[in-house]
Amino acid sequence: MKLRKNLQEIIKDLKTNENFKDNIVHWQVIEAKEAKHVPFPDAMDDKIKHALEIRGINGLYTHQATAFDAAVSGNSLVAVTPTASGKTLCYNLPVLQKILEDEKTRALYIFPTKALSYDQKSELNEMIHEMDAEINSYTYDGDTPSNIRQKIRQAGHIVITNPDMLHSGILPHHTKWVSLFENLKYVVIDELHIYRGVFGSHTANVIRRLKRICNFYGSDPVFICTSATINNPKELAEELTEKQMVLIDNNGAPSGKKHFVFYNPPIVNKPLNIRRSAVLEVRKLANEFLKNKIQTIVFARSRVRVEILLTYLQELVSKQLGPKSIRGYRGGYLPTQRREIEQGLRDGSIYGVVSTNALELGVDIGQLQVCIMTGYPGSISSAWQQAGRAGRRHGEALIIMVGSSSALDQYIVQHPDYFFTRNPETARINPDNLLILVDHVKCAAYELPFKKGDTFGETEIMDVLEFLTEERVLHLNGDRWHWMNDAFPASNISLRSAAQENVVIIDQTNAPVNRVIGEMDTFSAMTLLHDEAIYLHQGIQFQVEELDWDEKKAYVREVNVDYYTDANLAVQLSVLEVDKQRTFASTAAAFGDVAIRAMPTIFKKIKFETHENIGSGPISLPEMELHTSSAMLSMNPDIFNWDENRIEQGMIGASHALNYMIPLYVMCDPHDIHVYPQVKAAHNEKPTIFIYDSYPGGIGLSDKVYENSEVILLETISMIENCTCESGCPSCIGTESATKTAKSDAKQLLGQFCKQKH
Amino acid sequence: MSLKNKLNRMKTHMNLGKHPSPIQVNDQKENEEIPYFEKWLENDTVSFHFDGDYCFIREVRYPINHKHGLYAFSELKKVVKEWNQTSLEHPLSARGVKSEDLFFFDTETTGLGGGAGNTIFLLGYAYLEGEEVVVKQHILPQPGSEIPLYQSFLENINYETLVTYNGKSFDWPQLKTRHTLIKEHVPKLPEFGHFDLYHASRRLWRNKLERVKLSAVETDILGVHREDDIPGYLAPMIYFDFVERKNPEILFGIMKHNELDILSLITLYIHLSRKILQIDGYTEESMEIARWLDYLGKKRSQ
Repeated sequence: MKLRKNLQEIIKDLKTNENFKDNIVHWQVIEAKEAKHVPFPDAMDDKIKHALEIRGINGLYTHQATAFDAAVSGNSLVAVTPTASGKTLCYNLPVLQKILEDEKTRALYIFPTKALSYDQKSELNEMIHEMDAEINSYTYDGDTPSNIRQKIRQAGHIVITNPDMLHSGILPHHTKWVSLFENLKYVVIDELHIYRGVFGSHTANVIRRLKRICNFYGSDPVFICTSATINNPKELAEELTEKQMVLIDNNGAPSGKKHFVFYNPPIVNKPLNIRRSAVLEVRKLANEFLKNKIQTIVFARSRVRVEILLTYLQELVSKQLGPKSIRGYRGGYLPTQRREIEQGLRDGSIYGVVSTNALELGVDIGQLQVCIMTGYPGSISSAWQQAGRAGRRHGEALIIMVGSSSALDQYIVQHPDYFFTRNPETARINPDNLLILVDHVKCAAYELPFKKGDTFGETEIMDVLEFLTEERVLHLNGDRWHWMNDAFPASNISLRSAAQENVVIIDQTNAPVNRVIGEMDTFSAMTLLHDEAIYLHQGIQFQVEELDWDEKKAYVREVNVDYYTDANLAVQLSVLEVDKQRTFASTAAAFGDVAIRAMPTIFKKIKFETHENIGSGPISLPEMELHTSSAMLSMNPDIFNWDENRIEQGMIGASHALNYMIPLYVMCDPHDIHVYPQVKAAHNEKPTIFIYDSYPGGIGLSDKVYENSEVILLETISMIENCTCESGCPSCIGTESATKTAKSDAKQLLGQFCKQKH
Repeated sequence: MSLKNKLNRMKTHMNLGKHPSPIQVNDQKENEEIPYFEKWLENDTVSFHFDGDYCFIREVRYPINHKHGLYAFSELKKVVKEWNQTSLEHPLSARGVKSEDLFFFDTETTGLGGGAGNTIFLLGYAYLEGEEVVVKQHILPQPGSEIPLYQSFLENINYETLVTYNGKSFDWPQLKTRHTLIKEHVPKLPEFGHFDLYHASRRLWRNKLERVKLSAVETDILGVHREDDIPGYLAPMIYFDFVERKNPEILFGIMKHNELDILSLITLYIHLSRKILQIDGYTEESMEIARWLDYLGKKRSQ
């Protein structure tokens, strides 16, 4: 019998094995870092010191001590903490200290997901137990049994929840939480960096509502935030909470040695510059680790990829390790399923997990040795977060990032300096997005009436209040606006996605015993749950038998086929209003409001392994309409002596390249932004590239594109120039442009847009 | 609070001299401002002014031998007397309570559920006074005028025990919620005993009735038949319409509906008491009552 290899042996192997070594384009060793300790602060209660000593902690890391001092003296703070740096003590210590000093003190912990709350509660309760103190901490979320809810409301010193529950389950019922709100000293916001884009913009408004209610009950809590490394933690925390923040970034935690490997799959088609699929390459690598029983986490960007990889890996190793030893983990699984997986990872019965970025968050899954990313996760901070899942508690760890063919991935894989030296991205939110703002003004008015002259956070909202009065949602009585509607506004507002309704996925394989296996937002459902779509769930294939669009239900049945499905979306765009404009000699850049109508048209069946197209069918679903903001880049059509087709091909290529580069500059997911070319735009009859926000009303991404268009265009041109392909490939301008000149045309077009001179 | 209550209740018997009633019915100046005031007056309603704002109070009286469904209201005195004579321990027992101390209570709100923004626009109650049943309703003229509403309500209630239908989980908590928002400006909420007849009705008739709603209990059990009743679920819409147009005519239907609900609480309490106390001997409910008593006994011995 062959002996199993350990991690060191595999690392050596990777460097020498013919199968792998040529594909490794960069090998970065990050050396271990020593801890920086300081003694316990004098002000800290002996009970806390004692509990820490029981755990073998005899001093604090520098950042923990700084956070303690700032928080107990009443300053709001944001602590920047890499994975496994003991960040929980940054907030637990000052909170416990204050409760020991005054039993009436209350604290509210906000975690972005339920899974994180559970981890926290157990850790915190362990600590409280060791302190031998009468302190109650509870999680309060959708899973909390109703018979203990009243006790939590009245007697919970520390209430652990998530923004969604705060939004719909706590704030609208604030009168039942009087003892919490009257005595609220600390609000903890963990994983601050997650609160960006739409979710962050919503959460900022939830915090405005929280602060309004605190003010009503006479409290003014200190905010303690922790964040992964991003470019603007202080700014983000200040925007989110509208409080002055102290930045704490003197991390004193040690870290183990890390190998960070950039891996580029081999080219299989030289002229087209097509590389072997990253998914297949990851399968090969993961197999190597799993068969040696090295705990490995594999990240993939989409749910579909997670499921495909899971299917592959389960096939490969199920004989050696058993089918349950490799699991999927992503949004859309039910909570019990997720909890079981987290448990399995901790106790070691699960060797491998394939995950979307749901696990990027600090869920405690113990010590994984290897992390493989299927493609660049989209942002530098996200990549570091995922990398942090391997070897989080010291020890050696291996991180492999496998580039896909996409332009962005190729850019990153071929520019390791960019990745290792550039500042991580800036997180942006736009709490004043009108749709989001109005939603939360409604919720806030339901909670407490508004008075003339009131602002919402720092935002003027008299117009919003007058509008809502005309819409008969509010009633003005004297100088106060009161809620006057039979609805419960929070229940119709979801913090997480644009679509406010989800499609429920119902498995009728064992009809009449149907069961709900998951849910999906409506926009994704258009292309993933249409009739005849193959939906993958935990590696099992289901075919959608019927998508009941009115009822938002998808009925699926288990099948066993050798293909997956991929849908096309047809888009129509019209300009509603131009807000900002810069006109140059032959080009123009503009920013304004647009309406987009999207409709799925057909789907293709694509065979596993070969990825060839083996059939297609129509999708008949109603059109979805989106009003949002957009940047527009136009040029005079007669600059080039090209026919319309040539311009179109060039623009498609240029758009493709832009779509990959923009997320680098505005810190967003590539799905948060769309790039859409029109050869003859309806509003000015000129060739125009539209770059619009995916979220209704816009969340400020396209505005940033408009403001920074010159830099973005220049970088995109240099990316195309640096691509080694002959006439366009998936790594630069994509493969949709069929003409030979497309690559140079795209470059010339972008160059023209770039000439922003009068 | 008992002594203060008693003093309050007996104050008409004391020669304390005349003092102004809080209800200012005839102050022309103040009432000039109130739209459709004549219509309100015609519907037994007066205005109550406080702190620069006002609310409405409607009062109607029924003679004690008025029959509502199966029983005349005078039966209430009888069952309360029975409760005081039996040694049976029961959650609905009125032992130590006088029939005048029971406070039959029901609200109308602008929405469902228990959130802070769900406004109570009508506080209705009935109690026995001498040879009459008095029904009082405090009505919110528009959202935001809650200080006079709760002031007028709280300065007038001096009773021992609330009798409601599902009031333990809805009406009373919602009252507390709305009270919390203005508690700086109005009297404190008193402590009450509470008979929730919904739970009792569920025990007795959940097999017989598809849904144990008060309206179903009225029709199928209590023999109360309403004519031209406006269903309760329309209450929010009707109230919003009233707030906008100020004409109370459409709201009178909801007030009538609420009044009948409250009167049915009296009949229902009489009926439940008679069943539990076996006043009518063995009936189809006797098995369920036996189970209930058995459950209560076990609970006590735990």
